[in-house]
Amino acid sequence: MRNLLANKVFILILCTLLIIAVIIFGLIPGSPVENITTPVSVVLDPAQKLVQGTGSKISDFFAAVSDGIAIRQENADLKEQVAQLKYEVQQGEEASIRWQELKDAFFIKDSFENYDIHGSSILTREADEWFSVIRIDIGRSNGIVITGTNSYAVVDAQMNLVGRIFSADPASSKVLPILHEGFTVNAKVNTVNGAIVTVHGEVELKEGGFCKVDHIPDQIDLQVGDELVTSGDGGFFPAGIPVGVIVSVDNSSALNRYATLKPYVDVSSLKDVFVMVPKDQASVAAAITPTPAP
Amino acid sequence: MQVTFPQALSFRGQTADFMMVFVILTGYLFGTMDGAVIGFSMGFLRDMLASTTLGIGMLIFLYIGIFSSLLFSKKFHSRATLGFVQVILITFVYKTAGHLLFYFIPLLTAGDHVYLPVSAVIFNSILPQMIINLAVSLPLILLLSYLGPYRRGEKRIADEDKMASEEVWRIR
Repeated sequence: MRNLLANKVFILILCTLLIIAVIIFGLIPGSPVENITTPVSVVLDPAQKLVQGTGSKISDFFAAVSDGIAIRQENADLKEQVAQLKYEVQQGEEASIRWQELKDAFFIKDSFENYDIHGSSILTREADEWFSVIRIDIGRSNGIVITGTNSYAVVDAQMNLVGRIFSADPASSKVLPILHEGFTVNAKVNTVNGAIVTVHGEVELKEGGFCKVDHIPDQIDLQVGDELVTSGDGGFFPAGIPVGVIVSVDNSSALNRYATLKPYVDVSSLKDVFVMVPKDQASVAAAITPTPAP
Repeated sequence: MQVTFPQALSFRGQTADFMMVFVILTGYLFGTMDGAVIGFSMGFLRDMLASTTLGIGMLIFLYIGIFSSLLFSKKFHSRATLGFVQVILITFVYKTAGHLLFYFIPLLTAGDHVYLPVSAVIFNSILPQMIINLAVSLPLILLLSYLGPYRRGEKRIADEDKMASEEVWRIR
């Protein structure tokens, strides 16, 4: 036995088998293997936030210097716009009151009223073909709890779909971005009774920043320029989150009709994202099921 | 830095892979054991930072560390500058393996599958990655050679004395 442990080939084989075991157990939803990274992330996450914050401050400083002249001109233009917007705000306030009255009268629910929105910064981005998820700086301590059967939608400041939470550590979470080949979401054409389709990442489209759209119903003709939003089917994503716009449609094979979608979000330029955490599962289920008008 | 500010050191969409270059050069300069330990550690970090599956990075980087120390003869390793050749070679193998994997797995599981054109794979992925990795290997090789954990030549001499190099790996 001692001879065996002195043999480096044996140790290497042992290590390989152990790592393969970790990989296999890690693939089981809810496996405790996911918690192996927790102690390291407790130490690493604060350090990484510090690095990320310092880097951002340095880049902001240089950006502030170089953008100074442009900002002065922009400021002058904005002053003019403010006057115009003040008038529009007054109009908007009036419309808002009317909307609230109609909402109460027809029992209309806000799409996202049952969700808490947690803001977070991106800590790390995808590295290469092998490693392609992004990490954000909120985790289990912020109520992001992944059990293997649930997930949370991640959106940008304009509420466009960025991806979904894949796993969570105490102070950080991994996000599967919309372009990732493992990402899938049910979407609908953003019209009344719009067709339901499936949007997912594809390796060959990822480099160009596109997604594939398939499972297009036979009787539906998708058009270039159609906007897709989340359908709410499946329960991970609330209905109505903008996903992207159709840029090409291929109907050459009746059995395999597909389209290409350009997501609204540009992950490479994002700094901050927002995680939609349901206030409670029962209320989310109620929100996903449309309330019939009386 | 690699995953926090990927745009800062990228070339044609490919980000400099500090972690991998560090593992390659550690294996190359300091031997099998150091290469394996650093490879395993870097792989764990990589899994934690950017992987969907824990273990893939550990496995890949462990083997990169070991492979870097065993590739070519020990005489080759006595010249630090030839570490660049090692970086180019292993980057090529790593990127090619990644593309082959992404080509064959969907092909085997889904049947009909379209992948990136070969020219795009070569000119937009493999070549830029080799170039950017080569660029970052210069400061890293200097850091490891002059500010590394061992004085120059010390580790190599110690290794040669202790174990007649690759013979340890031969199964008797």
